[in-house]
Amino acid sequence: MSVSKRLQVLVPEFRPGTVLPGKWRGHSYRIMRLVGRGANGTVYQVLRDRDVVAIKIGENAAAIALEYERMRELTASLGTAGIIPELYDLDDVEHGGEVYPMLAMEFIKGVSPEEFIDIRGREWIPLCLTKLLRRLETLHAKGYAFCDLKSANLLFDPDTAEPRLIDFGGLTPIGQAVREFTELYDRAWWGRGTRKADSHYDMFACALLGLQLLTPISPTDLERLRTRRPADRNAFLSRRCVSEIKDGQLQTILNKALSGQYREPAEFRMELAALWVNDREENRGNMGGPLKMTSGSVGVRKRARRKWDMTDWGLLVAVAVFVVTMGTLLWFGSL
Amino acid sequence: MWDGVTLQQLLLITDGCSNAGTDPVYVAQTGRSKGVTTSVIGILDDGALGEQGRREAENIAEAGGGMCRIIRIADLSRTMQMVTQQTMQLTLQQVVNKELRNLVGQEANALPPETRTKVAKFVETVTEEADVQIGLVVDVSASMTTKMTSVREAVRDLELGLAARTGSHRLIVITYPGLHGEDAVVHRLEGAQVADAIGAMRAAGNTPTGPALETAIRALLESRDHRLATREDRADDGGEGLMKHYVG
Ligand SMILES: Nc1ncnc2c1ncn2[C@@H]1O[C@H](COP(=O)(O)OP(=O)(O)OP(=O)(O)O)[C@@H](O)[C@H]1O
Repeated sequence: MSVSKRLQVLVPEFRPGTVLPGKWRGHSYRIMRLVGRGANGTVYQVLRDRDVVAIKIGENAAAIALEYERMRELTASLGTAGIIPELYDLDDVEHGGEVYPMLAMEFIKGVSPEEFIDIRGREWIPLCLTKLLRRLETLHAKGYAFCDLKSANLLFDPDTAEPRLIDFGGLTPIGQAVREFTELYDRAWWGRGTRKADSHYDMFACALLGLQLLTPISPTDLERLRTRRPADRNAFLSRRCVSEIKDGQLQTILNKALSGQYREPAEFRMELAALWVNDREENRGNMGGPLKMTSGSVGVRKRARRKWDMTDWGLLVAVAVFVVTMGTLLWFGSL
Repeated sequence: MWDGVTLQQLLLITDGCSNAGTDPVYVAQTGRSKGVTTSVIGILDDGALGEQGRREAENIAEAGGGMCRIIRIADLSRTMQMVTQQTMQLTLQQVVNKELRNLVGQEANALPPETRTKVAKFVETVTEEADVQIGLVVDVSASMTTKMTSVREAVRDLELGLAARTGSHRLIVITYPGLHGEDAVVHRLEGAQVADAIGAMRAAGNTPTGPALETAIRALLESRDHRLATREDRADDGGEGLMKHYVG
């Protein structure tokens, strides 16, 4: 009987093949697979009529409606320019006599930032951050901060290195309190500023993402920091920025962003971009001109230190067998 | 009617089941009739919560018109922030729903989605701007001992989040049981120091959740009467001078 029950319906997990009819828009959604779970809902890859899309089903109709509305408003002012997933419907789906709120959006393909760096190499970090910052700056220009920026809310196109932001549930008008955050990326948690949404809040998270890609903070350290004061976390971060150095130049830039030394994200972005260009100059010849790839062309450079796997050994054995067989045949032939 | 809205809520943090005094579910219900919403975070680690504790947590939240989350201690900060935020929304949504029922005979969730977004946006704005008073009712019985530093930092963190809002806030910490046999202790600390109230622990004792909630409701209602300005209390915590780069 309580209102809270009605506002917060528990959502079951839907099996692949389940068809969820929409209540208002006349579409149905056939579940293909579960993609991920978050605090606000569960994301599935589905067939919407004939198209593959993503749907997010949540318990909280207001939260889903709000996320949709924010994305819709942004899309109206930015166009679909690849920053926001394309939006389809805000609807309720029916299943087993219950009604669940959901939104349907573009299904985004891509790899996590960690995977991307693993495939391409660490020297791609500045470029990834540069592209990411450019997108964030576009949001800032429209008066919003993304806020819940973290590895789990980012996918990279493995070919073009274009980042895609997912989960706009944290999008907040600049000046208001941040609604959704993750401690690791939150400047207030690190004792380095307020938890108000602004462009610097996103810049901090972006720099921390860079740091995580370069030298990840260990889970045990994070666990320990959870019970410490923000001032101690702040000191930990400062110490870490000088003690664990993998790439001095990049780290200096990240450190500057983490300690609020850039007036705006564009300044941070410009220094990162310079690093990228310098890197290319130094490595001309063997780096295969990464700048070409920034303009969107496909130029996957597999890492040189790729390990041999089963396929490689299989191929080697096959070649050996082939050579021996041919040799034997030739020998027989020559008899 | 929305100018100067004050929301009052209790957030109970416990890892066990009540075993002394009034029934907490009943207390939460009475609180609700006085305009105080109660939400609950149940902590799983070390398994003192059990099936019984879990059910009690859910019942308290339901009676109190709030929400219930059962989590691991590592997720406490995030969850506290989220529950506080969503409880405010829930309370406002309930008020709006009542209005809607009077006006159009329907609740927001029964409205077509496009109309629903308007309601949601409105609720969101009021959530940011409303004045809020929160009573954090923290179980400090023996099994919580190992979790207290996490709780302390989560409270500090909540304060940081509240300080970023446009509306004013007041955070009161109530711990239970008290050190000297009393049911609960109301801590009179303010702003950034509020977290430091958590530390006085008791090695053993009952879990008088109901009486603690009663104390908390009384403390909130009292402060409704003589409201204190809290905006001035927003001191920073260990920003070490970095704050200036971010503020403004
Ligand atoms: N449009 C999409 N295309 C592909 N995958 C997606 C899409 N949206 C979300 N996902 C996947 O689903 C997961 C959960 O979604 P999402 O992060 O939006 O949920 P949430 O409840 O807002 O989560 P969080 O707890 O991170 O705030 C994501 O980590 C992502 O991997």
